[in-house]
Amino acid sequence: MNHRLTVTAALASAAASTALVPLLSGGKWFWGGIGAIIVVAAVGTATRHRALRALPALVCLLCALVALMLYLNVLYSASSSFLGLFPTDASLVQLWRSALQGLRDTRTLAPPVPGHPGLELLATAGIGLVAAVTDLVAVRLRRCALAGLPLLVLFSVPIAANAGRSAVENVVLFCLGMAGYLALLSADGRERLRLWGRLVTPWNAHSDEPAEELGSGPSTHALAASGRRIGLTAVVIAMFAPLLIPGLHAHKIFPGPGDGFGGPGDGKGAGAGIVNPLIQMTADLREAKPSVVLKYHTTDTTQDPPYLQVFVLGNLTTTNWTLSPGIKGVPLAGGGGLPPVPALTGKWPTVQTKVRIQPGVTATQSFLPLPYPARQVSISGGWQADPGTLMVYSTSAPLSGLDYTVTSDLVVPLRSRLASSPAGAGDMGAYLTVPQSFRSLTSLAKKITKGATTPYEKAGDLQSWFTSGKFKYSLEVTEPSGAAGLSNFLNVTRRGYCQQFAFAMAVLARLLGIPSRVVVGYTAGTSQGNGNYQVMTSDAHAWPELYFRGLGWLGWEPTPSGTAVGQGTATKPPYSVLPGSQSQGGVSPGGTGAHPGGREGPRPFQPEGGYGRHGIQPPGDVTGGAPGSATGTGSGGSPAVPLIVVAVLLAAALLTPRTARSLTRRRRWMTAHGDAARAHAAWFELLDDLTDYGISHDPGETPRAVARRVAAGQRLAGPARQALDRLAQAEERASYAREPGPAGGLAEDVTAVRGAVSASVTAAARWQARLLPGSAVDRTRHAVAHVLDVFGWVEVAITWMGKQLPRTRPGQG
Amino acid sequence: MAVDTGQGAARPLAEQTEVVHLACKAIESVIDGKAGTIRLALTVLLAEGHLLIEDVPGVGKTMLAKALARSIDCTVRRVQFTPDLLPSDITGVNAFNQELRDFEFKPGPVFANILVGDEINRASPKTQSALLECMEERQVTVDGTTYHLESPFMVIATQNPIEMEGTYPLPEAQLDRFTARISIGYPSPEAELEMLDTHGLFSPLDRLESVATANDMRELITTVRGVHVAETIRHYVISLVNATRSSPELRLGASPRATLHLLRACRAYAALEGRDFVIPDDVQALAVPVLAHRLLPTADAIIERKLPERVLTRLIQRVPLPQRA
Repeated sequence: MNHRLTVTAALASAAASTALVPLLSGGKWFWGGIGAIIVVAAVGTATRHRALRALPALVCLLCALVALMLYLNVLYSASSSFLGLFPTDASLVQLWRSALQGLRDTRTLAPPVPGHPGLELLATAGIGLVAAVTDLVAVRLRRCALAGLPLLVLFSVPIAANAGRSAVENVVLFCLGMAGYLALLSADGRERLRLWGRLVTPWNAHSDEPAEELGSGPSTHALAASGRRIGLTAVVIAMFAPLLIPGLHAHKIFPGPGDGFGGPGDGKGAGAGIVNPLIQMTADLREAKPSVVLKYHTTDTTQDPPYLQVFVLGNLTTTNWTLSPGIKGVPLAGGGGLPPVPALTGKWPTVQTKVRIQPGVTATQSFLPLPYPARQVSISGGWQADPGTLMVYSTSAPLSGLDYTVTSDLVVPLRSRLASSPAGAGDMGAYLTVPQSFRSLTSLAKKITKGATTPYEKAGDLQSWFTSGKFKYSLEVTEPSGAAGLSNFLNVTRRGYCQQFAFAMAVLARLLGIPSRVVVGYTAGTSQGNGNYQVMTSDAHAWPELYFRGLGWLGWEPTPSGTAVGQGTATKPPYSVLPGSQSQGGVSPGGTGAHPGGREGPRPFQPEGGYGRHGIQPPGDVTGGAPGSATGTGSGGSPAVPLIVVAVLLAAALLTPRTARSLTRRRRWMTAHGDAARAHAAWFELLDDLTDYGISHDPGETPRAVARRVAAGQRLAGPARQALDRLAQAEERASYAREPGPAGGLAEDVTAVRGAVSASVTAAARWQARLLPGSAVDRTRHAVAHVLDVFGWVEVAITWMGKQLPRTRPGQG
Repeated sequence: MAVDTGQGAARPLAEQTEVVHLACKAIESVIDGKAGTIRLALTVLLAEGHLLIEDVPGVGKTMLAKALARSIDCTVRRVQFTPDLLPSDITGVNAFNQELRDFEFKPGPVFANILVGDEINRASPKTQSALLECMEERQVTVDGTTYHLESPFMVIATQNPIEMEGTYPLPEAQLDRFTARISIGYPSPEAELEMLDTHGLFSPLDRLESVATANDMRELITTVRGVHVAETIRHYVISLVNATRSSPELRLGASPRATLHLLRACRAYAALEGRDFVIPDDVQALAVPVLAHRLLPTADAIIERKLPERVLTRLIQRVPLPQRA
């Protein structure tokens, strides 16, 4: 039986299973997967026993799957099993439920997910399944190359799940998986070669043993070197091609949440083991039949209840908004007291909100929806709060059916106070960080807020610009990630949902020097009367919060509202509506009539004193001006400049081979001292001339053979023929005789032959020899190829290492 | 142009090789239109080697051997190999001399400058090996006494490749002793026509007179040994020989003895050309006749009709000329 191949297939499966590392934290799934691989390999070995060899391959696969099922039963549902080993109805049902729960988790949780039994079960089963198919294909069917396909399945999972990974992680995991696969191919090759005799490896291929000991037949050293080169080439191309080919990026298999600015590969996602807020939110918004998430009663009877904050994304990366890296969990004080509200001064009225989360709400979500800023949360269980964002969460308590009461401040500042809020970030400087790629949007932000002087005016202008009617609300957007996607959204498509609007306004605010962050949570929901509200999944929302000194973080609403044209229950905070912006023709704040369920309309905010300032420019002007200034005039050059550059480069490219040819000729004659050197120089000059005119020569062709062929092919006669013969004889004597012949007149001979050959070829060949002399081009190509021949260097290194290792072989002392 | 053989003042090379060219012309008067083959035979003679002429009956194998032998004024013996030929029929035997009342050595035909062995593959292996030992060692040992052969000593053996019935084909180890194997081939129509005219009236072999002496040949052989072989040429020869050893189309490559024979033949070839140095063209010209009979093609190559000659020709095209140091 072929144990080597079995073990290698198992190792390849194990190596490929590391591809799941970014998805799942903890090690249980991995060791479970290793166990599954061992079980599958053992069963595979057993079914390949001589007595069972007659079994069809399909039966072998079934045996492996049954064994895998038994193994999973023992591992994940032993308590319901008979004697802890044998599956029963109850244990199978438990397994089934765990698997279903795992599938649900895959839809709601963001990687890396900590120890969730359902997901661990799925991972272990998946690894076992891949191992079973790999074992079948590679060992039983002896199709090792095809065994890469099941292994590839494991690699595709993190891509489909949008697991954030660093480049180093990517490379390491890829190399691990590839090492396993190449080892499998190598083992297969060894087995095939073994049938023909002793193996040739780097350790014995270079030994000084007599050839007879290495077995008869041709040397396989070149073959082995070719194999190594091909393997290395394939791996390196696989690693680097995606970097070099524009647009070849990993995409999720199924378009879904996170395809907005926080699209695939957006860094660390939501953070360790928590629900990805963007995935959760978008999934909620796209639910065909919205369901109730929570109901609450609030004592706030004078204002629209504030939105319910769940997650605060304070970190802007090049591709996405993510949770701030420095989140610290502080246990709630006695009575549920939260840390002090950051940067909020003054006395504000408090409201109490009694929240009841619906049973059946995703139990893994452990962040509480709270009005901001909450002061106190009366709740049982171990909950923690983040002082910077006032997010309240638990790593263990489920949300389903949870009841809690929140005491929060009702921060509705007067416009005058907002207007007098000084500029500057204060101690919120971290919330001003903008990656360089977004900087190109600064001109747009300034254009929008032209004339605004205070942070408040700028924020108001931004919000008004978004809600002025130029943007369309659509859940069906798949913007690319990063600054390019944002720019596309702002300038071109202008279609999106709350995620895009919130991201955009927060970024623009930061570009204007206003600290900002994105909050993901729920709108206030739908009023049920008497201070009771109901929040549906369709109320999931993202909005920007801007920081004002003395007032802390205040929410803004750039997303269009209204059922038909925007987010159904979104409302603009009263303080956010500037008087001047009402005339811009935007959607009226609140969209009163559109609210489903007879939602109460917002009460108009009474401004304290007017803002006698002009409105902002129409968005159309902005579109026509700002982006243009960023791309066109921003470069500061006239269109002729690139053309000139291209022309110069083209001329340089055309001249370079010709120049190189001339330099080579000059250097060759200048460095040739003595008869032999001059004879060689003349001969090589002649060969280069022939190459320039498209007349090649074989490596094994002797000087007089070349002379014979050229003379016949180009019909050289008379002085040119004699010159050619003299050159060949001179080269012969210089290379092979004791003394070289006299080298006088060889330069003239070369010129004569060149002239005769030039006259014998076509005009096209003559022009090619002038502009793109083949010898110079070949020399450049060879030089580049030599420099780039890393595989050759690797091979040299391997050979060197092989020589350094002690030359003992198995069976020898 | 002269070759320094280390034996004092040397005659110019062209003068020394003049006799060979005369011999060449003399033989050409017997074998029409085969200048290349004759040149090759003389090359082997000057390279101190032995020649195997393999061809179908009636193309002049024996005639060539005889003509070559006759053109040089030296001792010539001819042996018709038959299955009942004994080794002592080749090497000689100790016979009892009644007068002297002692055993006296009766030299066999091998004690000559040129031995023409006709149909060598018809002799028993025992006899073949006795001859081949003489070829290699240039001496004969009979009853414990060693007798050195004359110089120059050259065996020109012929064999017929198609009448294999009742023959003992030479094994590879013995084929390796022959410096070169040549085929004469059918003459051109013109040459054949001329042959009809001349051979119908008289035997041209009878009219052939020797144009060189054994001493001339010995002097030339010494000259040939001094022909210069550049380091690059040696590397080239080794590359070529190694290529036959690693070729996937060949089951058996050329032996080190083949390398020596090739280089010796190249020296002789260069000398015949009037050159005192070997050039790659010499190697390429001699590679097939010197190496081909020592190579064994693989079964696949045989099926694909890739004979060693064809494989060698491709190798010659492929093996690059060594770069000068």
